[in-house]
Amino acid sequence: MTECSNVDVQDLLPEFAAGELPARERESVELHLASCAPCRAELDVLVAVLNARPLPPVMNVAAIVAALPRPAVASMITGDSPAPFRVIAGGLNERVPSMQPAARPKRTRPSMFGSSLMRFAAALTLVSVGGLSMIVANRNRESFVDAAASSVVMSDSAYLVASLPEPYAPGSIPVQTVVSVAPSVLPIQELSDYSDDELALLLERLDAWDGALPVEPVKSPPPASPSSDTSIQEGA
Amino acid sequence: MTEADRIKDAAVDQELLERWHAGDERAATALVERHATALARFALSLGVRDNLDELVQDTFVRAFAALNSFRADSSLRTWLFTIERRLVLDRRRAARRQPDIVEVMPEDAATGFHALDSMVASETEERVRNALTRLSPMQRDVFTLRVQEGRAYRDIAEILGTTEGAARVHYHNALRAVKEWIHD
Repeated sequence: MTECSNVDVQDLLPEFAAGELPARERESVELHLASCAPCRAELDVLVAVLNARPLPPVMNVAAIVAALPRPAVASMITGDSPAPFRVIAGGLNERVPSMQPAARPKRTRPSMFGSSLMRFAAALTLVSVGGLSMIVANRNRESFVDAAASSVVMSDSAYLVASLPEPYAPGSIPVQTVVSVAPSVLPIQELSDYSDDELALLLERLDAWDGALPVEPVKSPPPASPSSDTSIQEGA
Repeated sequence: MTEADRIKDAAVDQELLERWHAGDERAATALVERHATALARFALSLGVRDNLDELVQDTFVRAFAALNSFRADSSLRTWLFTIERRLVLDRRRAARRQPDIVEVMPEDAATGFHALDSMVASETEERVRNALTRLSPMQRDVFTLRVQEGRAYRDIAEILGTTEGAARVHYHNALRAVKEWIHD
């Protein structure tokens, strides 16, 4: 038996076998079947397959509907995760589907594991950063002390240079400006900038220096304590 | 099912879904009534024999929990079939990981063939059922979806994760094989 080449009719045969074709299409298929043995044979097979369709058990519609997540609850569920709870329509004796135990670990165990892991990572980061910053701070303090000492020396030398008469000032360095700046921010001035005569004069002046700074150190204002002043006055 | 029927069905499902979202419980009942039997039958054709009602219920629960992701590009029934088939595959994978559970192999997949059915089934029906069990899993799924569920090739391709052209080829190969085995 040769096969039929009418693909359109063949495509409609399952619906024709199920009696689901509208009248117009059904008539055209019937017309074709009257003259096509292969399609009739195919139709017989399809009808047999349709008749052998398994009969499923009657579904408990009420139980299914009761188990459905409500729209408000469903909106809180992300992805295709199962419902967070299952409503048991027939009471506790009714079998609860296997999705419930699957839902429980999803809501608890992974999140606990995740949070503890995050806490551990955060603590580790804190300790690492803290230790690192302590090391950096210690190193900076040492270099800061060195820098402060050198700046004091430089400020002294700058002062001495400033006190030199105008012709002895090295090059075009604005010595006055340097002196007016706080010692810690004085520009570094190399001794090589000075001539031998200037250095000799510096040494002379250093020898003659009595160690006292010409600038009064900045005094921090005394703590304002009107009550103590009052008591003193009263005592006096 | 013709294209016009599909459009009409989709409109009814859409209206019921909107009513469900608005809080109408009866809409959910109507939706379950419309699709539960087809889901159970499809599960049988996939070879599910145990806990059929549980599977159907889980399919609905999962679908309703993810209704926001349903874009109505396909019909609701096609979407439900897709979810159900995925659940069946997941359970089979889980069963394979548990040695105590008897594995359901593709060749075990029957068409809901029970002992009682065999007593009342005609010889032809028995031949058909036996022939269906001899098909490859993909051929059987395509063939039963096309003939017993009346799904279009486009829907079948979506449910089974294949192409429309491949579904056609599987259908015609299955039809030819079943025809031959029935008449053996």
